[in-house]
Amino acid sequence: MASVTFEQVRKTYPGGVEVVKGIDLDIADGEFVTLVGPSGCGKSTTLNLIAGFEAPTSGHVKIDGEVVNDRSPKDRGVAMVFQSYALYPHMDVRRNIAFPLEVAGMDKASIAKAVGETAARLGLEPLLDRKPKELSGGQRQRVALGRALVRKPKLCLFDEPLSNLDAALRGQMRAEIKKLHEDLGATFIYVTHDQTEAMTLSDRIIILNRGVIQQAESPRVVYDAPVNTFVAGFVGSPRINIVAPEIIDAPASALPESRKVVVGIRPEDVSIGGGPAPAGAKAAKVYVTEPMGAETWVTLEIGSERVVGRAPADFSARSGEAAWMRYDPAKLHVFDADTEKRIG
Amino acid sequence: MSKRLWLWFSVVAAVSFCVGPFLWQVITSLRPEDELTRVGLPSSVSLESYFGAFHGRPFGRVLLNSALVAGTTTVFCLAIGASAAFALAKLEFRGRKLLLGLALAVSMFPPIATVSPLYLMIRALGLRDELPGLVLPYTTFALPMTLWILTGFFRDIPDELYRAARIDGCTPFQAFWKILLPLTVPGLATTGILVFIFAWNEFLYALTFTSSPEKRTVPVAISLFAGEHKEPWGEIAAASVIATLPLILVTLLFQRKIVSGLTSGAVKG
Repeated sequence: MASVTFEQVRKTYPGGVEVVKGIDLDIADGEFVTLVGPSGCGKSTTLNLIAGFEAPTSGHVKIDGEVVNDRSPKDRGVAMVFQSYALYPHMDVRRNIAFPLEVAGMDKASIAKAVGETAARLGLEPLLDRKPKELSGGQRQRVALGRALVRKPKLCLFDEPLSNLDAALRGQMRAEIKKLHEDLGATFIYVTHDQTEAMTLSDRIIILNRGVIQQAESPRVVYDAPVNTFVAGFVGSPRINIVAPEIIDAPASALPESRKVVVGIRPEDVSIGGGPAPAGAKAAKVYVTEPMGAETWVTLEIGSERVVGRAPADFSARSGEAAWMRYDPAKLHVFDADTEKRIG
Repeated sequence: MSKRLWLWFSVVAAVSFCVGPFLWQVITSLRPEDELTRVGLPSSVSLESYFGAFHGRPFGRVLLNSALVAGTTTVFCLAIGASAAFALAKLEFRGRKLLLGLALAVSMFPPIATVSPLYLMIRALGLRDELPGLVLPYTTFALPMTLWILTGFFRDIPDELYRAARIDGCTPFQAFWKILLPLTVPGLATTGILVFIFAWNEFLYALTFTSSPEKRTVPVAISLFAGEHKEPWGEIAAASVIATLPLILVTLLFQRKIVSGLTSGAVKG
């Protein structure tokens, strides 16, 4: 129904800034894909290339196998949800949702039916006669979703749709978007800088940095086997510890010989306890503790480096007190110190 | 407290400085003829100057001329200006800044420098002593201002709204017509008032390009009130007051359209 393919796509803005540097990508029909990366990594430009707001400088963008490089947005049959919601302020909720159908020239009865169904699905019925300015942020976001989905699009784009919502609402909307994807079976392409959204929502995470795809795999693979230190640092919270092997006494058996490496160990794989170090553990000093309820994240100081790990919920210590850390060497991620690429 | 007093003093001073001459004009227009040279309030209110202004000259026709010219100019300016401003603010093409700069340059010419070549062109077009002969140059000279103000208004509309309209299936023109234009109504009202006032008050071109009494506009007609032997101060004052009324009316009319915060709710916040 709607697959998206990028073939060696490059985008250079007037002025010579190349934001997308030769991307190859296949997004299958019905897939939920997130594009993540730091600001300026090219993820929004990539989305704009699919929407048709920008044309690639070279290469091809294909939707369903057809090259759409120069096709205007209205002829691509793509729906989109914007970060700022972009509701039409002079129209009430009903007309906002109906607008894409009106423009398409659908008859009034069918429009009313489609708007009714969409409103029911999103719980918008009591709000249909309100103007956008009379809605809360979460309600506006729902209307924006409704406007995108009323056409039953085969391809729906999301540009950081939840970043203006507060944390509680964000979690709720995240679940709803995932449910909508399951119900509709459309292809969803979702841009975010929030790694939690990327992990929880997608079939596949595409991590971009400086206009280049770093890794495009399932959340599981990206988390378990990041291809380089950038990806390792981007996925997972708290952030992975990346240090020289001697800082945490990484066993030689886990490291390749005759190569300079750095090792990564996720905080959830590091156990921390207070007091003098038992046998086989590494002694350190407490830098700061962050009780989370179910557990406590502890930042340790080892020499000049800091390592974050997990301690039991009742762990308490002042900064500077003695503590120790322990980890399973099998959980170590080993990266080349120069290329920052994964080894093994 | 003295701060408050000072504020009040400043406000009163500023208002009387602006409104004073107009008030003087109103008082003069209501004075009986034999008191015209006196200072102070008139002994009785008389409307004879108002009747006098219409007596023996086509002042009604002149008012209509001004309304036609200023109204048409405003409509043309808004129609051309809004679509051009939309393109300059939201569409991507080369030389946008250059175009805006050129438009500004046009309005930098002093009118007196352009009046003779324009006269020749108007005459060649057969528009001399015709109302369209005024609408044409007025539109030309009011357009840069229109363009600058409206471009600002269109720029203030978030790009995401335009993009949303495009994604929802609009051509660029449909996006302009259905989504962006309704949101720039306050801008159109503001610009409309300014253009109307400019066209209503313009004197130099109106004096040069028209010759017959029934083709004149208000400022020209009033300036020609003076006879050979006397200055009809009362009638001039009355005509000026009458000429100001439509401006006040238009401003009030358009002002109701200037609803602030019309775009609130479009995007976050």
